[in-house]
Amino acid sequence: MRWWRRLTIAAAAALLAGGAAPGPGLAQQAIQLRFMSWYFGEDPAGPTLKALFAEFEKRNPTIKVVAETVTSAERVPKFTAAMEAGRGPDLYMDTPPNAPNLIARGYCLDLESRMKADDLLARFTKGDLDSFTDAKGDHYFVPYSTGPMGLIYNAKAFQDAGLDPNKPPKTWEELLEYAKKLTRDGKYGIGLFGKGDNSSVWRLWYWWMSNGAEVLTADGKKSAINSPAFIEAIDFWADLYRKHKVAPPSVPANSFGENNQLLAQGVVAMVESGVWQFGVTEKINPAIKGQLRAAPMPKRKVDVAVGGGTDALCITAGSKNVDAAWQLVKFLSSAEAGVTVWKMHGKFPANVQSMQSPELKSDPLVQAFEPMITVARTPFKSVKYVEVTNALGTMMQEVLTGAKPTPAAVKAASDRIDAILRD
Amino acid sequence: MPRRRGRRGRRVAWLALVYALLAVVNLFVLFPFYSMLVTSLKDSASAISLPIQWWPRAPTVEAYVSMWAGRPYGRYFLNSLLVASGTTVVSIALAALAGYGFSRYRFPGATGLLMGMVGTQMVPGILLLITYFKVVSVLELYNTLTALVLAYTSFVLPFATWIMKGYFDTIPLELDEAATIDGCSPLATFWRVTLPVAFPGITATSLYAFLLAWNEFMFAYVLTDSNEKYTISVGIAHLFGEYSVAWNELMAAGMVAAIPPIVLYMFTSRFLVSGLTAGALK
Repeated sequence: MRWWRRLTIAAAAALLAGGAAPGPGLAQQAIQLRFMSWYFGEDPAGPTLKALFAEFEKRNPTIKVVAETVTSAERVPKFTAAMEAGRGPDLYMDTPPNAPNLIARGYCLDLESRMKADDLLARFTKGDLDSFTDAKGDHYFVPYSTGPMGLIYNAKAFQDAGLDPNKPPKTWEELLEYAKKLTRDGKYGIGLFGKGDNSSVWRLWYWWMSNGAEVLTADGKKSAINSPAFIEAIDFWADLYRKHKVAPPSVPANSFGENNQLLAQGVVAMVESGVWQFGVTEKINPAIKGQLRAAPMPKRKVDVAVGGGTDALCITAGSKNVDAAWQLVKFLSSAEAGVTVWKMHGKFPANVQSMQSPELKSDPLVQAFEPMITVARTPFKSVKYVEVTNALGTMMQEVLTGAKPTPAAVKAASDRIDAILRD
Repeated sequence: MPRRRGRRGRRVAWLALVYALLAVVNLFVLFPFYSMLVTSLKDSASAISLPIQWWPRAPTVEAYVSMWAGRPYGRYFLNSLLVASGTTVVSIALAALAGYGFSRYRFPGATGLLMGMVGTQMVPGILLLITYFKVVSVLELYNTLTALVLAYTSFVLPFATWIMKGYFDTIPLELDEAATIDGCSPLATFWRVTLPVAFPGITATSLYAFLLAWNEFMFAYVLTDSNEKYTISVGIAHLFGEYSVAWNELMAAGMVAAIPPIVLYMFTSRFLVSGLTAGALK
């Protein structure tokens, strides 16, 4: 055998032997998990999540979590571009409105078998879980925090109007009665969201859901809004502004920012919102601290609350660290992490078992919202969520401004939704 | 005498109408800047209070102070400056050569090529976002300022070439011929004779390139991923929170971000019109 052949064989053998044995320190090499969320640019949401990462890394020294910040408004374009370019993160956070599209595009892994194997389904409400499934019912996102919407009211305004702040309105009729008493001296009973944007339509959901109406048929293929229950709900809601004038004249232009301002200034006494409302209103007017309270929205026929404030985690398709990512997802959605979410972030943990912890159970806000958490749901899931919401927003504006009578506006919106779903 | 007075009266009325229209247009253009300035001088509560305060009751520079404390705006400015300057230099170097070529040389397909280049401007930039992302990832340039300079240069180059060609067309060919007779090579003619004369065109094109790179948001947002690489437009976008927006800080940052382009415009405006309109009446 020639010398160079011997040398080649010896080199190959050495390489094979070296490749088979783990190199020094290889086992200790840290797995890096890239986590994309708008939380990292927000306070206290970002610091809370980072504190949880630190705790997770302490328990899992071989895993390092890297925060990738996106803006709340532009998160989907950035995530989409990254996924399409094959440079997506390992974990991504989003909300029910965006989930159907992300699932349909194949950006998120089907977590059904993992959730069943690790018994994660028992951690969350059906409403939160159902917001993140595909047509088969498989789960793709694990809820992290949740936020049903109720009635946020100013207890001092109630007292000033001779109303008992410990007895918030429980029915639609009571709501109207209270709103009339609260409307005086340039102040209004309720701050309605009438701008027609996503935030407004999101809040409008409650009214028809409570009256037993739905947006889409059960198979999700046709509009279901052209019904007496839907029209009755919209009329009641719009008449608070149109007929009874217990809402400010600016309702057709008002959404979250405007109503937050009106609530902070004491111009309106009630708004439909979530637990996050307290912090942002107190930021504008610190003197209002302690005056705001929460209660379930006044009921009509169905005991329901609007979900949608749920933020959930998906492991992305293409992640090379699925097992490590799953460890993190399990930790972030645990009851233990949930207590941190409540204490630091002030948002409800999606894990219902967290609610049983002494820290949460004794909190008046948790007590006020807990009945809503169990009945909260997202009214419809559709890959055409944005387009359907836009159609409902247009209807909202037509009804409020009197451009069309309610039945005509609803019929037009129903036709638009059918056309959208056909496309 | 009365006829002259009548004519003068009509002239005064006409001028009054013109000035009134100009005033309306100015109001329309300047009002957003006024609103920005006023909001930046309010505290966070009065920035969103109703009714709107058209002039702050208690003007404060709180937002200008807190913006620097809260985020690394110095770094954002530096990044924007590097990206905008880099884009300008690369674009001008390439556009001047290309524009000179289109202006001075006849070759098959020249018109089609020029039309094709300008035609790329008709494609909405957002459609190219994912493709750019892929290219940048393959080249390992994600989260670098180089990626932004390359992307912006590709946006600027077609229009910049068009402007430069238009300007070179206005420079008499005799200058080139004289330089050639004196022994200049084509490149030396371009560099020593034609380019210095094209200064107004270069200035106008530079301003266009700089402003485009300075103001662009979506590509900078998608192609960068850290405070160390964010440009000013991306840094400002992070002031939009999920539930709240620091409007006074946002406006303060907007005011400060507007300073470099305004200063640049002040120094170069006299070249802008001549540079952009050169060749337009040929």
